[in-house]
Amino acid sequence: MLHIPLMLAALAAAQSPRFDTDTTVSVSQGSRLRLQNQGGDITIRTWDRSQIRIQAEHSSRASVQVDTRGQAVEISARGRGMGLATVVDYQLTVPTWMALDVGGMYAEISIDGTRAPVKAQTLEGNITLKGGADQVTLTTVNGFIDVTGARGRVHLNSVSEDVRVTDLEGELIVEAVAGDVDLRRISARSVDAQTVSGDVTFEGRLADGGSYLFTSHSGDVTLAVAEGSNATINVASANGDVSTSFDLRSERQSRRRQSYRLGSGSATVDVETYSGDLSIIRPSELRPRREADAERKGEREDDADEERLERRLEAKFKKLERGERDHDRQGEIER
Amino acid sequence: MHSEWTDLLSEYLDDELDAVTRRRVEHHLAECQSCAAVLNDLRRIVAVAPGYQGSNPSTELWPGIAAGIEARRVVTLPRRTGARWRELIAAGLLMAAAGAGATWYWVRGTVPAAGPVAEPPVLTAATPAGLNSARYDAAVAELEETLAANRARLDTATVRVLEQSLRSIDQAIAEARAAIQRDTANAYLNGQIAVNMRKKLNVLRLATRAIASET
Repeated sequence: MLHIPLMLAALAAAQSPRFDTDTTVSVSQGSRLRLQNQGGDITIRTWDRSQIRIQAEHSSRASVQVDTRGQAVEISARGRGMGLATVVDYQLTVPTWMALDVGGMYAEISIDGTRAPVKAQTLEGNITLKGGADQVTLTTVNGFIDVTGARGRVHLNSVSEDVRVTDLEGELIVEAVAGDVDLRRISARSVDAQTVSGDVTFEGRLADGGSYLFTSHSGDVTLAVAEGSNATINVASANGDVSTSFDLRSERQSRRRQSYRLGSGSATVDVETYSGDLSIIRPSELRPRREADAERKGEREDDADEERLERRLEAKFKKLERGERDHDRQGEIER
Repeated sequence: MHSEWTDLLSEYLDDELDAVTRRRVEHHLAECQSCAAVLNDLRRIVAVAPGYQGSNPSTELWPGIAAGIEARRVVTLPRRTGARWRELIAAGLLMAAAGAGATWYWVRGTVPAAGPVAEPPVLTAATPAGLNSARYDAAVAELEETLAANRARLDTATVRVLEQSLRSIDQAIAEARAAIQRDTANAYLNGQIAVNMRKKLNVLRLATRAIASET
């Protein structure tokens, strides 16, 4: 097992000082940003200026390029003379209106304050987004997704870890495999949340005429719905049970299917599990459950965080080593 | 047959529905044999239409019919501006109305000329209506092969996560299939199988895309 403090120190020594690149470029209204980063983190903040400030940490043998073609602004990094990808940690400040399309192999992606469409994809790393509008699409293979305050059509996909969405307005699709899906204060006419082995928790407003679908194969589904909601809740489960704090009677009952009506039944809520249970509760009942869950998960998450950090550092080292090797090889060829 | 569902089948085949609607359609198809039969008819028409190469039969009606079909010789259905599949079926019905000869020509005389046409999948309890099992298996096999051949290019932690995820999905699919076979009251699980099969494809695509960008 690698020792994290030593790795951090070595990594700091291996990399050049902070902000090897620090430049600001003007952009025209409506431009969009594209950044593909092979290795390294991407942190984006926003401001009201029509400019992008690019600050980046990287090896002295790397350089950052900004290519503007029409409405597209593309940022990329190259190892000098080689055209090879390198490890770069970006810190960008962009206009709030600027559409973002960012991605990386081993990258933490963090975006704060945008009011524009966002597309972000990483293989290994978390994605944190505050804001986002119109169309938001986030994908990570090995990392969690945390979205706050997005507006519009939001599509989130995490293979291995949890997805949390807070204060969303619009339409939401969440796909997970092993992680939990935790939806808080959601105001959406359409929600499709599915995971294979994680739990699904929905807390929010069920819009009249809205359409909601919650699926987990082996995890539990919890719906925290406000008193006075109008929804028809259809439940299908092979082995799961249904419990509710509301005074609900099953309107149509078969061996595997039950249907409940809240108020006028206007919204359609479909819940499907194979072995997971469904709870229909009031929002006030959710907090104690969340606290208990957080306590239970606390230790596990600490371990997971440490393991994730270690993995990412290891991956960065690999990238650095590979870059070094490629550079040496190129040097030999040139000599 | 339920028109509120069949109206969506054209877009469903073109994969133009949003995820929630698509899943609702799949759920309905898993349980409604008559709508599933319409989907299969539609698939047959779509499969045959691109391959039509026949010559005109000796009937005055045929040129008009053929022109109608010719206009729809596309691999995927055109974007929906109405219930296009209905038009295609209507063309078939018109052929039937034109006489047995035209129908025979359509069914017998034209298909062999275009080579073998794959029989659309028949809806069964273990085969979700929205998925062509053979094509799915082939796509998964190809992606798995790519992943296996290139796994050394990915970080070991990433490979581990991918493999665990794929195992979880496979297990969920297997459990759902077994549950349906044990108890047909679980037919709703067809929808979940379809979702998880798609999920598996997506995970494999993500992995292979990552490999592509790595190289």
